[in-house]
Amino acid sequence: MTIADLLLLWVPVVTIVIGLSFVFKDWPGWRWVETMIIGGGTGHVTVMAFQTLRSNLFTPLIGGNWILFPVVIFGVLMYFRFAPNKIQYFQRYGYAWIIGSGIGLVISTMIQGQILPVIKQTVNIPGATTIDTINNAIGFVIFVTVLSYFIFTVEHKPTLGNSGRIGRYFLMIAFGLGFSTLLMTYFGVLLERVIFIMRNLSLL
Amino acid sequence: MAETKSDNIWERIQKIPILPLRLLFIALIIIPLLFGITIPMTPSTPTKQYYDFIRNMPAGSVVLFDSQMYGWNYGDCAPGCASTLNLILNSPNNLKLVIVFEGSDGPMWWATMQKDYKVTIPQNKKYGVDYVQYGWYVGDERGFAALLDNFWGYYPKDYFGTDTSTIPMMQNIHSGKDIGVVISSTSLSALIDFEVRQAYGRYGIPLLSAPAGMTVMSVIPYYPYAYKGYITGLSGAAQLNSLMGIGGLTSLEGTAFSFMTLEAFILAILGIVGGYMTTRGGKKT
Repeated sequence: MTIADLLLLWVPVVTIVIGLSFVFKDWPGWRWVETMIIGGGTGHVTVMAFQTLRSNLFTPLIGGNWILFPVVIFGVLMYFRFAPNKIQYFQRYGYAWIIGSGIGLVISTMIQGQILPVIKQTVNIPGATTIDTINNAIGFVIFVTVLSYFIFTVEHKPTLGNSGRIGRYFLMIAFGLGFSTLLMTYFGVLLERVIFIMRNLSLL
Repeated sequence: MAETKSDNIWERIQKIPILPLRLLFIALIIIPLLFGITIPMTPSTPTKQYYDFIRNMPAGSVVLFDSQMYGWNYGDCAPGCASTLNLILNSPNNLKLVIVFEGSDGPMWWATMQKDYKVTIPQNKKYGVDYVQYGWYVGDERGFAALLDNFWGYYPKDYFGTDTSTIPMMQNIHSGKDIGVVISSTSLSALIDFEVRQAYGRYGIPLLSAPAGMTVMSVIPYYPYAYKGYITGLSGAAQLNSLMGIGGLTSLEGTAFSFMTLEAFILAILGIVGGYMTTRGGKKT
């Protein structure tokens, strides 16, 4: 086994263990790993961005694909936020390009893809069972009560207040569920790292 | 004489030192992996629907696999990708697989996944005929919409530099109209939304998902009308493996994951009840 092999074997293992040591104590070793991840990650993203620009923009442009030229212009305009104050407003054209195209793409498809089918499903599922119907009714109650919690223009008097309070409980359930699913992902990521260590140490 | 008051059960539970619990947590991860312990997995209804949908697609249908796997979500997304890849490649209906990536690191992690989970391509499956791999589609929703509109225009070459026009399998795949299902593996909620808008909303393509655990909440609102089934992270992958009748690393991970979740669940319940009993429901205010 060469020194390079040994380093490839042990550096990731030691780094992961130091990274996980934060659970027990914040110490300089952990801060070193944290800094290394941020630095390494930034470097990696930068290289990937340049590589993408080269393959998707510059190479086709040099090859005569001039339709991509406006992309360069609007891309460069976004950097005008670092320009002198007088011409800084040019950056807005770059953002307008992105935001405008994004909104155009989303709004036209949101109604037919997201809103209408959800409503249709709530009121009628082909072959719906009793449980589906009950679920839909509960879903509707949750929708109304949570919505009422967010109505701030009217005083929360008894009816609206009670509805809002029930909505708040539903929100708490949803946030709890959201947190638990986040935990699931963390468990999966931790498990994979433990497997990585065990593999490197030939335990698996 | 000063009155001494002993702690009740809830207060004593809350005073259990944290170190043994952490060590127990680590032991619960390592023991199943070390000794190859697996527990039977009962597939959930969405997992069964996921499996059935793929197996029952018309022969020769095109599957667009959209992976957003990267370093941060690899542990939770990779098992699902591996199980799904196994399912598609070994499905009797001779599915055609097109792999695209939502992230720049996607191809690298895809290769790592195939190695880690020992995904072997069946001998009768050939690159360019049965499956093809493309690179990162830049631009999130704009990129995805563009590739559905004009696949050849968006991807003139595959990931390995071969012209799309020369790939046999791609001769019949030009736009979203030629795709039978879109499968996503992601921890990005926005990807779920834009697939619904662009693939289901514009082209009526049915969707399947193998999301990370944290993203399943974004899939559920569109299930079962847009998403016909889903497998949730690592546990979903283990369930899919049990449906396919294969074991391997994913099943071991599924067992370790179940033990971890069980401990976390018990501690959470004890913490919530204990917290309530020692404050609002008990004597302290």
